[in-house]
Amino acid sequence: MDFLLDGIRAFTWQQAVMFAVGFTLIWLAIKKQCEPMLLLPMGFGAILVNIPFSGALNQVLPGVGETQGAIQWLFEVGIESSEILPLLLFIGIGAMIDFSPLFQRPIYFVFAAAAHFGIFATIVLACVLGFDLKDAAAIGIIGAADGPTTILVAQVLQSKYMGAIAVTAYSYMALVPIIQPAVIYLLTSREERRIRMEPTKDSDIPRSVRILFPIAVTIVVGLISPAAVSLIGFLMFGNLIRECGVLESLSRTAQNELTNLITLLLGIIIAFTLKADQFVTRDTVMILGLGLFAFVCDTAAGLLFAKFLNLFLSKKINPMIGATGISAFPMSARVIHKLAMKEDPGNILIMQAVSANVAGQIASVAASGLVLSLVLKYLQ
Amino acid sequence: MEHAENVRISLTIMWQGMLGLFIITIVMAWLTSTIIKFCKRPENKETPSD
Repeated sequence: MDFLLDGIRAFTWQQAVMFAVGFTLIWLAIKKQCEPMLLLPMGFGAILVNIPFSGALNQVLPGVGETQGAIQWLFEVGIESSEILPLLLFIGIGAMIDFSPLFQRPIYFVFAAAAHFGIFATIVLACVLGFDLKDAAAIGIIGAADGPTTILVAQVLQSKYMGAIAVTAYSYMALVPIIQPAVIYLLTSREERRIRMEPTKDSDIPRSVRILFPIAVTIVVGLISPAAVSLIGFLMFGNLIRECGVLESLSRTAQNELTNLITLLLGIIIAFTLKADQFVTRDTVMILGLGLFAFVCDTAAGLLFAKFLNLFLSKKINPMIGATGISAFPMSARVIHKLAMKEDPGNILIMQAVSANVAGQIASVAASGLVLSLVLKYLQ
Repeated sequence: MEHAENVRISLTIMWQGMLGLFIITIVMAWLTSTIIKFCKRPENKETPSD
């Protein structure tokens, strides 16, 4: 009857730590409602892949040879070989985004550029801390505040830290309502937070604009940053399905069934990278710190850029709008709207915040493409 | 030596990446305004989608 104890005997303290990580993720998802759609499957998956001799992973069995584990197979097919799962998720995200607020204020695109400084600052810091260039770039993309992009870039760059990077990215995305206000209070005065912006009268946007926009974005971003073509292409394809007006049922499917199905699978598949031997390391702690640094730098850079612009503008911009240039949509816009209302109940910044926030969706993908292009160029 | 080289490359990636990102977003802002202006010209007036 010795075989009943094989699993228990093989259990290591590192696997116990991963069980604790799994329970924590499940707790965060259920109790705190932090990104539950991803953290819950990731938490359960972390337990699943860290059970000794887990059948969810490939195992070599005596007398049989290697057997396929479901999670490992899904990871190899869906993420490792083609990165197809994060890309498919982009179709759903594209189908969910309404770019109308951005069409009213196209210049808000520049806030999205500024608010992605955290990606590049984190790459530098990660290199200073001793990570190699590929891993540093993958870690820096946490600053894109965009889960599927982070997973995809980490996979393209073959980073061995994908699990830690994915957990860090999703955790901090869920913590945007805590991180952003802290940075904002630190870097702005009450007067600045109370700056009122004139409500612009939103005009109707012709359907032709909505149709041309995703095509134009794909071509422009693709020409400047070819490495981003699949990312931006799938995102804009989803948006084109939404806006074309003749694919209602496909649009609904992309927004609901496709997104839900991929999200459900993605969380548990990513857990493949949460194996104890890869995750329980000093580097994971450093990645958690670097992720926080990325989010703080993003918010700070957006704020400071808006304050810089205010030096030259007669009609001042509320600097908090700069912080919404990150890709965490719509959470960041909501946070800034609430902060503005708290400082001055009559100050309604929601449309301006949403404009910069949806621009952040495009900028995060463009930034990831630029990082890939630049890193691959220097690795040659 | 490799560490110093990595840091140097990462700094280059930082300024080139940020410059590239600003160029992309400014081009996108200009292009979006142009598309809107073109589509809103009287001869191109059409019923809004929603």
